[in-house]
Amino acid sequence: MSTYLQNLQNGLFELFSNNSRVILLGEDVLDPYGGAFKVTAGLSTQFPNRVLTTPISEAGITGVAIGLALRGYIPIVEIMFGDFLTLCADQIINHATKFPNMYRDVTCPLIMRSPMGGGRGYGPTHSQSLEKMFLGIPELKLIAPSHYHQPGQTIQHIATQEINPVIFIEHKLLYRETLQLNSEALPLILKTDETGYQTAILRNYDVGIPDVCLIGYGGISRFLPELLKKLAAEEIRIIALLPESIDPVPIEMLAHFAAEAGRIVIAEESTEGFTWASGIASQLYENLWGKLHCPIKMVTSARCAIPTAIQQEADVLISSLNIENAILEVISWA
Amino acid sequence: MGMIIKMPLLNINDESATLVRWLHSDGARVSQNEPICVVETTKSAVDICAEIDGFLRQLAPVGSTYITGYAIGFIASSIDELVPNFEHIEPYSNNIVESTSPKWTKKAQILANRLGVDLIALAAAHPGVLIGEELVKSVAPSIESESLRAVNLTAVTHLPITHANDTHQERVLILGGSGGAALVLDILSDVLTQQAIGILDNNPKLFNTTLMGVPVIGGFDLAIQLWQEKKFDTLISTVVKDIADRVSIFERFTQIGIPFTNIIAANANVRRDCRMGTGNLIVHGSYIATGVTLGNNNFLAAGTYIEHHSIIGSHCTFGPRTSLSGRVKVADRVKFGTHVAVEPFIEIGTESVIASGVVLTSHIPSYSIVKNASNSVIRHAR
Amino acid sequence: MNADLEMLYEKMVLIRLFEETLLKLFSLGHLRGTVHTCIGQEACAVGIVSALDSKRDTLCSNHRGHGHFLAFTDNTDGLLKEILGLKSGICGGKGGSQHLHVNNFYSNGILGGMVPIATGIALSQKLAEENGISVVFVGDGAMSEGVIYESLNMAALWKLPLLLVIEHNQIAQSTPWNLEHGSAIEGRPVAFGIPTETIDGNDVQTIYAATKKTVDDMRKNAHSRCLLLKTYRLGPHSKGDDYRSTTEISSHQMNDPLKRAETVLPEKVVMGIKTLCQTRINQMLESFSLI
Ligand SMILES: Cc1ncc(C[n+]2csc(CCOP(=O)(O)OP(=O)(O)O)c2C)c(N)n1
Ligand SMILES: [Mg+2]
Repeated sequence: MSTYLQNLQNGLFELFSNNSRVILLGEDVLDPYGGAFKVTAGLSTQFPNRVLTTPISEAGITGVAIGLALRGYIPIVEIMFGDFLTLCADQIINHATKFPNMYRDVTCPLIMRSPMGGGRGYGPTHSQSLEKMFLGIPELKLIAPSHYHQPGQTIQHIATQEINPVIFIEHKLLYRETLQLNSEALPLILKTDETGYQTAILRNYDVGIPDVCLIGYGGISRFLPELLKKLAAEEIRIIALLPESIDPVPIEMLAHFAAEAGRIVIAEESTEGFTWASGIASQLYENLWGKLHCPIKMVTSARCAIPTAIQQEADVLISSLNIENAILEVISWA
Repeated sequence: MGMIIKMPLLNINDESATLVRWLHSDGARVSQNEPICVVETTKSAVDICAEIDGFLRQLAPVGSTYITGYAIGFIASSIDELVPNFEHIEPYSNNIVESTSPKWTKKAQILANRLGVDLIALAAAHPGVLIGEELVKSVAPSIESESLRAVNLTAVTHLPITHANDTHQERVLILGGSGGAALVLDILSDVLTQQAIGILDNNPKLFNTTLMGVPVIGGFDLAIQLWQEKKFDTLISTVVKDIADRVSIFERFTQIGIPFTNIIAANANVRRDCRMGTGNLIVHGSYIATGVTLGNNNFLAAGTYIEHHSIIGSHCTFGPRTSLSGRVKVADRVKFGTHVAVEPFIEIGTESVIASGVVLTSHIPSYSIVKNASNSVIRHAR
Repeated sequence: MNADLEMLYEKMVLIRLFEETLLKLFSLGHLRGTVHTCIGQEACAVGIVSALDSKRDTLCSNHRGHGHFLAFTDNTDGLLKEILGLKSGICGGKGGSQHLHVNNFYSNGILGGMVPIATGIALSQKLAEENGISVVFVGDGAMSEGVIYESLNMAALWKLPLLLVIEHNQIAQSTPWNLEHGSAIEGRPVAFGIPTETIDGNDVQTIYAATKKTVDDMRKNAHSRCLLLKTYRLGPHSKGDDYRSTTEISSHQMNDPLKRAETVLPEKVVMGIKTLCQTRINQMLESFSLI
């Protein structure tokens, strides 16, 4: 049983062993430090020429990686905290995603890896979930495995299959979580969906139709083992869907399973307003018009900076309780 | 000056660690760089060493997990130095308050709300049992009310274009001599198939008076004698103030075999494929859409609108202009005020009272009194 | 030497005629969006690019990139089709004037944005060990973009074969360089440890020679270099958007890089080259039924 972090580390090792075109760039990625969250621990020792520690120049190293990608390499950039992706936005949006689109016969297999999310007391500029700022960009994919997925496998899939830029999001609180692949408590199905990535499907019941369909991704998964168990004791049947591809999103698969329940909660850690959830909700309304028993309920973090102090932070961030309340609310609709 | 011992950050991916044991007793003398306690994360166990010479004060019990920065101890520089006041980092709590022994599941609670089941009563009837969704469903008021099952429903259509032939007139005896009786008489003045032959009322002051030319001939008891004398064919009740009265009057006479009739105003519109029992009084301008089922002894005041496929039990009274949308279900003995509006698919439990002007957007449990004009939840707080 | 100059001059004339044609087509409503011509700066494009090896060297260009492109590829047809928005253009009409790519040539419309990418390409060239050089063109105005300095730092740190070419035409859109810069630009790459040479940007032969020397040196000892070319934009920023005085502009006419080459070349050669290029342009326009 490995943790999310170990799985990712192993995945990178395998990837580096199998493909000599893969290069990793990032700040403080060399051993013995091995990256701020240790994702690259050991990698630079094993592959000294292909792990580059860089100056603190997020935009610059993104550009450098794009240059490598244009010339046949598969660069992986580690951005120490997802909050700093704003500095890379110009290179990603105006360069990396444009080249394969506007140039002929050009691919740009850039992988931007970054930890997102709060819960660690890192405060307003090191705790955000900014992926929503990169949603809906043509030629850009956002992949965010949960701990019901195998991030190490996924990053290898990206490196070998994708020809255009991908932002790979790792929730900070997932690193230490044990992967839930063979969890006996909650039957898990990993289905390859229409995006080519996997959607984790969890049910907290054996028979019957679900009361509520809960949709989330990435770090939201850490709430599920406890929450789904608790709701099962309350006879509330939940089908939880965790797509690892959050853009493009496997809307057909989501709609298929959500239709069964007719009541939908979408949970996401980013701050309230113009969220991933709202995008999914609008597509689900279109797909499931007439089949929903009540409005789709979205749960996010509060629309404010994420404080450092533990209780204040907890008050602002999405919690298991917020999700539970949303679930009870949608069931209460007649 | 002493020094606070804080839970250190042992691993970037762990924000807390467990205090495994103290290596010195409370108050013991410790020297700089000497291990004083063992803490553990998921990955490793580490000794924490004293940073100064002094006397150990244990501030946190072993066995618990503390977040990074939590003050677990203090090293006093002198034996009598007090632990300074400091602001403790509060451990995280999301304030979940759990009731100690729930009597029902949350699902059961939500369903009971939706279906109009009295959970407290149900729990009292099943002591020591965790009430679940199945039990709630099994006792949910059958919206096809008990009495409706017993009602002898016949197809009734009363389209305004219908012209009755007048070969045989049904002789109707009216129970109750106040305003309702006048309504019946007014209705019957347009209906060729039915004729009022008299009025019974328990108020002796009304005896020997007439209403629109029809005499008040005695109290309700007289009906039995008149029936035996074959003076009338059917009864109709205009008692609406007290539903219990209305029910007892209906039951008293039907039990001894005296039939009630349906009185339907000529300009009421009862569409095709409706079924109803007996004793229903349907006043001017009412509209009973296709597929509606009506039990016995209901009073529908002027302009009552009942949309298609709604099911109404027995002994209900509807104030003027009350409108029910399609597929509404109403149990027995429900009292509607004036101008109540009911959304489609709504279910209303037994003996509920809905005040005038209410807009019903959600199911109403039995025995409810709904008073506020808008009972809908406008927005759920998160 | 004159053989070199003839070759360089011919490229400059071709670029000049091509871009004058663009301005005409623009006025006639054949072009959408915008075009930035390099009229007056042809020596920069031709002098630098002619010293490169288009097989192994790469070129990252900017908004004012027609000259760079033509000097690098000589593909007038593909470029005109692209600017006309035809499917058969080098980028299928998606790119237009500012977003061009064939083989080792890349341009984009974000000022300074290509510099880190050129740095990454230089890294790939270093890793590939084929002695290729990554060249990137920027204007004096773009030199205020922060990402350039991040890139120079990395290029110097990793000893990458990056050649930064600054076309210092003393203006950015409408703003003269002294309203944009608090210090001399040439000092900046130097501060990162990148040797920088300032050259007369209107003397094509000097540029060519300096580039050759620089490039040879870079191939031998991998490291980054910068060439700063002092030049002057004789044309508008794009089209009809020039607020400089005619006196100012005409004072620079004598320094036109084409005229300077013409003073050295025999008149017959000049006439021959001009006719040759004009014929080529005319044939191109005819093939598009544009004349
Ligand atoms: C990031 C960015 N900011 C602004 C512009 C708009 N713009 C296009 S060209 C230009 C002036 C550039 O001046 P310079 O770099 O000196 O190049 P020149 O036009 O003089 O060749 C400006 C401001 C742009 N394309 N990109
Ligand atoms: Mg300029």
